Amino acid sequence: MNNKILELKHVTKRFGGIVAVNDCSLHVDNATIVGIIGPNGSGKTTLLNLINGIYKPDSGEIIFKGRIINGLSPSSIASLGIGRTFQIPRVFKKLTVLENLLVPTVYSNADHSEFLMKAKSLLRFFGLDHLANYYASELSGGQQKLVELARALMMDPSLLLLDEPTAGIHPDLKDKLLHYFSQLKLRGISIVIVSHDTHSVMKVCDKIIVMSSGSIICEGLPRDVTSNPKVIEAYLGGA
Amino acid sequence: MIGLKVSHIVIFIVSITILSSIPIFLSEFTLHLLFILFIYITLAQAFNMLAGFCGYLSLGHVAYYGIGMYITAVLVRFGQPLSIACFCSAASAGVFGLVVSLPLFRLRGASFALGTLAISTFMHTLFSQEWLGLGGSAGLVLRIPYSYGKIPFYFASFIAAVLVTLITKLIRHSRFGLALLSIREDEDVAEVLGVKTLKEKLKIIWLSAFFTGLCGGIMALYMGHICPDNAFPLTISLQMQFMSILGGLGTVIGPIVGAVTLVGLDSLITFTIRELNTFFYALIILLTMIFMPDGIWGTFVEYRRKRVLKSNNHRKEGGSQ
Repeated sequence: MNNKILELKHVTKRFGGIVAVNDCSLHVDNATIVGIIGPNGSGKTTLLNLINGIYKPDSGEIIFKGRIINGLSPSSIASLGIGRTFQIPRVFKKLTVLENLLVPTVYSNADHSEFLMKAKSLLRFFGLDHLANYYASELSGGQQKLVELARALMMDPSLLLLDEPTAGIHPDLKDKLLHYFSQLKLRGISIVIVSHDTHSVMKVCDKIIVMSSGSIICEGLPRDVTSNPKVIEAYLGGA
Repeated sequence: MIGLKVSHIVIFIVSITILSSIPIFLSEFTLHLLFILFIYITLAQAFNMLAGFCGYLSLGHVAYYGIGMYITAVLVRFGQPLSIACFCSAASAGVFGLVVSLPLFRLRGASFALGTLAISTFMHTLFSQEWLGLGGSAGLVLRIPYSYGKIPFYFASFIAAVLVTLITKLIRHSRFGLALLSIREDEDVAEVLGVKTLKEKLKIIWLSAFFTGLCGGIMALYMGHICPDNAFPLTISLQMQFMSILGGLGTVIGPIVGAVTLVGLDSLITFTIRELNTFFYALIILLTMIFMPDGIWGTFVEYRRKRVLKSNNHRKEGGSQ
């Protein structure tokens, strides 16, 4: 049985003369956490944008649950079960925190009160329940980050793409969040984490992918990756 | 999900009862003023549906108004009943809105606004052509029996205003409304969260153009003369913006407040300093934007929201002590 939930085959994306993602191939197994690390400008966020349809790849294939999803709109890809958060929180600023969480449920036929309960329980988990009726713009950057994550979870995704999920979060909450990612994994959700916070990523990820200048330079278990000479060179420079 | 309170329903029913029973006691002038007010409310709400809920500011909504006028005129000339003519003109304006918006919705912000302005200018030029058989610049004259008086127009505009306000209220508190608001806030993120943005935008433009066209249809019958200058005047688009922004974009009551303000100002200025009316409109909108960026009603809603949050916090703090 195919255990891969997501597979990228030779994916390339160019912006004019710049190759942002260069012939990348990778896969994410069911119920695993994969970390993508790399220096600034290495193409990590572009890779996430390609997976959830914001950008279309110039070549290559993106396969989700055995189906090629290249060329599908972001909304169609979302409805297949891919949730996403952004590097800089992109909450709906003039909507309340609760309304933010309810947006992914607009096409659901299920009872509204069910979603309301689910949204409230997520807010409680993230310690945001007292802010439910505030505009998202009235929250701090870290809180907005959590609203984004809770909003993505409202979609019941089978794959979560998280861009810098721990940036700007209180250290106590960071540990709670990392533990929550492990719980999500146990519930069968696969997670791709793009992060500069390598220490946190190493704690929870089953596999690490290292990118540099748009290419994947190394892939493997966290402990193997950190000692890889290519990775050290990418982070410290080739001098 | 509809957030209707009993007090709101009571106010609504009492207002409807009063407004539907008073016309026989009113003078022709008052009937005219109220007719204009209801038309303005309908126009402002129609504009608000797209700009306030979806975030797309249109400078060319008058195109739908003009389409409504001309289609009504043509249908009445072909002997269709007035009500059927009005409804068909509204539906046609809606379809026209869908057709022109399909390419226009690829644009955003100022580009979208300019695109809609271009459409309305194009329509003015098109309907000025003699070969179209619609009277060219001179336009068409409709012969509506004078015995009708103003009361049927009062009721037609009244029904349109009530209907559009009810629909706006339903949208605001529906999942459809939430999808629209998410588009207004950040269209790309809404799409990533599964909102089919183009589909939702097309639905709302149809509704918005429908009610704008309906106003055009009713006005065609009221004025009896339809020409490019009164079917596609830029002032209609500007007034729609003025009322919605002044009252409060994205609120249900705001456009009504804006329409009442505009009719009040219109009357005041007409009887005092007529030559300076555009100057006063500009001044008022400028002051509103500076001191009340959320509009009159929007500012009130914001004040009330903050007060409720504050009192909730006090209550929680009191409870925890």
